Amino acid sequence: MNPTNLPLSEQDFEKSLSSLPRFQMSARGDELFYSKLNALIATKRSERYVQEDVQEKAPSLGFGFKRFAFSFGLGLFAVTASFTGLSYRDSVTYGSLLYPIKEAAENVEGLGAFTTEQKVNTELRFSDRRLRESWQIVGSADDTGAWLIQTAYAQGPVSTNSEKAQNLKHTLSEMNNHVSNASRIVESQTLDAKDAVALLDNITQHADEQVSSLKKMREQASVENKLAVHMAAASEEKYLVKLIVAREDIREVASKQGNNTRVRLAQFSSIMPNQDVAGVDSSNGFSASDASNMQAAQSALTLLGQKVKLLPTDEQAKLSARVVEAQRALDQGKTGTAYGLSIALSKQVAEARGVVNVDNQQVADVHTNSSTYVAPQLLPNNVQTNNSVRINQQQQNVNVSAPNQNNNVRVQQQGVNVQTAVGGVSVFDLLNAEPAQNVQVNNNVQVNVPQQNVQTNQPVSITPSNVYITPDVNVNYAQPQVTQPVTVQPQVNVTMPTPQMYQPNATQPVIINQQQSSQVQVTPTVKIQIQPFGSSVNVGR
Amino acid sequence: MALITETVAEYTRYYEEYKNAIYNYILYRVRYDRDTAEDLTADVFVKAFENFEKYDRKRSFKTWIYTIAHNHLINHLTGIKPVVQLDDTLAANLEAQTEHYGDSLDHQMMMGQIGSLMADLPEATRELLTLRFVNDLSNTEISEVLGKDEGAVRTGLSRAIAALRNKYTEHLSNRTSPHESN
Repeated sequence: MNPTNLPLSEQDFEKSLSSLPRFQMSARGDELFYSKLNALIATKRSERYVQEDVQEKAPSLGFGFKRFAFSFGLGLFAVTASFTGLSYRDSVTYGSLLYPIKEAAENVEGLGAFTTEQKVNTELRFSDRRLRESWQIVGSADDTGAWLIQTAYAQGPVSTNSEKAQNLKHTLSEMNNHVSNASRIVESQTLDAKDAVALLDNITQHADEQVSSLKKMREQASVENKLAVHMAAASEEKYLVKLIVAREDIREVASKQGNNTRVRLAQFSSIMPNQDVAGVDSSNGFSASDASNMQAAQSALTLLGQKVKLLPTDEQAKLSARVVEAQRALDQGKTGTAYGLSIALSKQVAEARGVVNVDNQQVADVHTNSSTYVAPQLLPNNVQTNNSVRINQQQQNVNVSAPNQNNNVRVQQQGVNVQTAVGGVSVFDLLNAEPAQNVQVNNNVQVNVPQQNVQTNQPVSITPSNVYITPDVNVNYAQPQVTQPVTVQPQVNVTMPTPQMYQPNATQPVIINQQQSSQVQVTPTVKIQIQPFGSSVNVGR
Repeated sequence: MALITETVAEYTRYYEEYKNAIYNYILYRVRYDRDTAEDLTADVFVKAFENFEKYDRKRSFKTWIYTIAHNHLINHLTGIKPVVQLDDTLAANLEAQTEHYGDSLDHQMMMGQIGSLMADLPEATRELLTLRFVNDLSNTEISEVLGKDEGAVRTGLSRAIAALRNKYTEHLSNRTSPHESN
């Protein structure tokens, strides 16, 4: 057909008219209709329907049951309503008349998910809907429709603002719950590593976008609603951190053992249980301002970047890419993602250095005598690595066991902050949230030359005064006086309760918990001298 | 009287089924002004809901809602001069839509031209063409919506098609005449 040259026959022309374009109405049109219908129904109910419908169904019951009866009635035809697309109307928000229909329709919708992936996607879809509804509530004016309905039921005025805030809080809470549900669905499974990574990737992407959206929402929300939005964002961000760490751990397993390695996700996610993630919050984490979070995350990442540069080349190449990924997230203002990646990265860095002891048992001294063991940038005073002193630090107890044959200096730390060791960087705070893992911090360990002789089974004199042992312990270990290897089996623990102020020139007995003392051979004698905080602690022999 | 819950459920099903049809009917009548068409579509369905209890279930909902839309449009268009002319955006819109039919570029161009020419037809003629070719209503249904007898509708449609075809032929001749003169 060539319309520019040939006039059409009547038949052809009429036929062509049948293919005139048809248009789809936009979402705006639906919004208009449903909002008008909602208001109309509310008005009708206030005038007439409440008495005729609800009283007819529950004439002698209280307000709460009336509302329940009405909601139940709505739910009864939710199956048919789900086909109307009602459940996809973002304008139908919590508190509106049609919301029970929407909820019931979603219940039906949820029944259609059978596989893990489908269940996760369903939860995420619901979560996204709650987010869009939250935007509707935040961006809406006073919820007149809900007010009318409420008035019709309660026969009394209701604070519109309070109603709106409550609706928003409920909707945001539901949004968090759906992400949590998706997380739980994944955690309960044993899957191939690649499938697990894909599922976690999906959830983290949703959570990441939701956190970004919530941060924007927080800016636009009224003063009344800011806190609710902030709390929802913080909660979402904690899930995000947790899931990213689990995802990266599993990815690491997949890279080492193969994509088809079966992994039980609960094992990974339990590395960082919720209450420990909450610790992030208290340690200047997500409850802080965005700027503060950004600064803390940037500091942690910078430190990690430095550590990565000290790793062997192959590890360096792999982990540098992770640093770049985390930095990119940070540049985009995605502190949660950056935190998650940093935590995962710091674990991988530690593993690459052979300093992670998961089960708190024997630690392999991988990097003894290696120049990469100590970061020169971070430790101007190098550790004397030709000697073996192990300092196991648990909360307030400092266990000094020394020396062994591995010529290594190590601080094992559980549950305490070592911020001074890394310049106040919170990445170690995050690591400390993992109770099953020992973090070895070498950079703040110095070993001094022993000054006095100390013999086991005898009191140890501690001088000088004002020794205050905090998690930030500096132990100087200088050139040893030992000419021969010393064998201690088992370790001799010197337990010093701290923090504790020691008086000048006072002689404090140190209890040496010696297990199987008959097997202990210490030659020569060892002197431990702990100096005031800020100076050095001397461990001598 | 039915419970409002049942009423709402029944009505929203009707809305989802017919919203695009009514929207297109109105869109072609308001010279492709989308915002106006969406506003009027929402109004039509809300107005219909207000009268839904009076709706005779023996009658077709389709013709009932078209009748309401027809009357609502008359009220809307009365005293309102059409101010929105078919512009390049609409032409592009129409052409873009025709892609869905998998037709040739020539056909797309033709539909854009016909859509443009339809906008210049008298109101009643445009309504007949829209109901028949955009909404796919039968002559019987059209007669019910417009309150006319079927014969009048048939005659009116023949004239409307002829009028549009003449306009189109004229349009083509105007376009080809400069070349012929050369």
